[in-house]
Amino acid sequence: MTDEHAQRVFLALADPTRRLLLQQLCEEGSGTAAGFAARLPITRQAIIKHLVTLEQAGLVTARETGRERRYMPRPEGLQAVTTWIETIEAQWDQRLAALRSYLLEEPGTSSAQEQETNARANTQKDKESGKP
Amino acid sequence: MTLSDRIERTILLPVPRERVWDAVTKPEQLAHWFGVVSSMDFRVGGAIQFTRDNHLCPYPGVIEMIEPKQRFAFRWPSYAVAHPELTFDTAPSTRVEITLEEQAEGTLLTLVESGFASLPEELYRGNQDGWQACLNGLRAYLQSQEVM
Repeated sequence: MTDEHAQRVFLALADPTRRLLLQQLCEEGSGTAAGFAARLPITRQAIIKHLVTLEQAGLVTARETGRERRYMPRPEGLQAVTTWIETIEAQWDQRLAALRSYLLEEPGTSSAQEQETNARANTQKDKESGKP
Repeated sequence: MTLSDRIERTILLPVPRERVWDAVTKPEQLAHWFGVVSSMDFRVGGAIQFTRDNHLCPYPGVIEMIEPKQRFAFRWPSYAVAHPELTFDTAPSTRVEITLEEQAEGTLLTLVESGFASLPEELYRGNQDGWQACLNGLRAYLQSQEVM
């Protein structure tokens, strides 16, 4: 994954309509511009533009079916975002561990076991939300 | 997979809620764990100044919500703080919300940072390299946790 690619992914996801389209594609497996236009307050032309942006970012793929292009999600295209988010999470985990150490300094009862439990709780949460 | 542009972390702190509240809202205590906060005008709309390696970040953060002993939210220009060589017309910012909840064992702190998707494009270039070491450490850590 190049930085250029990561940047395209972030730009594609910077728009709330595109996030909505991608989310719906993920939930429904596939979709067409006409299908989205029928239920969203957005023109078909605008939807096509958004879908092309998502396609260029590698977040969706398209297949010609008759007259229409059918779009499908590419979850692996989200790896760049996941990676970036993981980094920010790690920074906060470090800061929160420092907060805990600071709060425990006075009583002097820092327990390595409890810290491990907290770290594990966060790891477990990541697993549940489907992060690697 | 996640489509959200927010992160959420929780930690159980075995001390009373008042103690945690002070640690997350008083600049002299913030310095012990957050590091980069140098001063704070503690009221909604008040500015937060960030200093890193003796370099005052020219872009302040702003306090958005104060619910005493329960909730504290602010926006901060995390990217500008980390990259003092860059200048911005308006520094991009993300929102941090800290919630405290009393529990039998102490205080549950929940931290949510959100708004990454609205950050402008140039932010994502440097971040990948600069944080790679940190990221590798995280991966190793996560893998070691999975084995257990």
